[in-house]
Amino acid sequence: MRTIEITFNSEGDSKIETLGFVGRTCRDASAFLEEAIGERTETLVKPEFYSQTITSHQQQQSN
Amino acid sequence: MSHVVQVKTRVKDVAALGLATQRLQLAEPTYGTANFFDGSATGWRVSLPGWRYDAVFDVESGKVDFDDYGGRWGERAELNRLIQAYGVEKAKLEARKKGYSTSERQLEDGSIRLSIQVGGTA
Repeated sequence: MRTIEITFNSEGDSKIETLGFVGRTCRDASAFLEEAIGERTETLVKPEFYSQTITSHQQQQSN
Repeated sequence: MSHVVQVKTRVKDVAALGLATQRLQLAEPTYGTANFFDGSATGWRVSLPGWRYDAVFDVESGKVDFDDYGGRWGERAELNRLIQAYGVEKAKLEARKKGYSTSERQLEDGSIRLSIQVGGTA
């Protein structure tokens, strides 16, 4: 199950995390929320973000 | 999890601001000019508990004007609570537009966590 979790702190700011996504699809999935809520101030990319790209490169190398 | 984004909330949706006031049992926002001790501002006015002057939201720019005299004329926590509620309601509105289901949970530190089920697997 793909989930977007948003935590709104008591200062009113928020942290958006994507769960269960592989590769760059997570960025597209949460973009509508980032734009709707306000201004992005920081982005942390996790290793899973690159997993689709790595797989793709491995496939190309094996061909 | 593949990425984490920090977002600074900007109040730009009157409907979500209205839902936020309902959520906090405040009077609905009204459009007009609020006078402060020194100056004034025009936009969507919200009367916050214990505040001498209304907070005024300009939904075009996302800017909020207020005069709390460094906390003497109103606790900043009340304004932050409204902005927090706005964020939750705005996110729920946007998620529903896409047909996603949502659930929320109050955390011990005062944060509110909203979970949006996008469905399926990546």
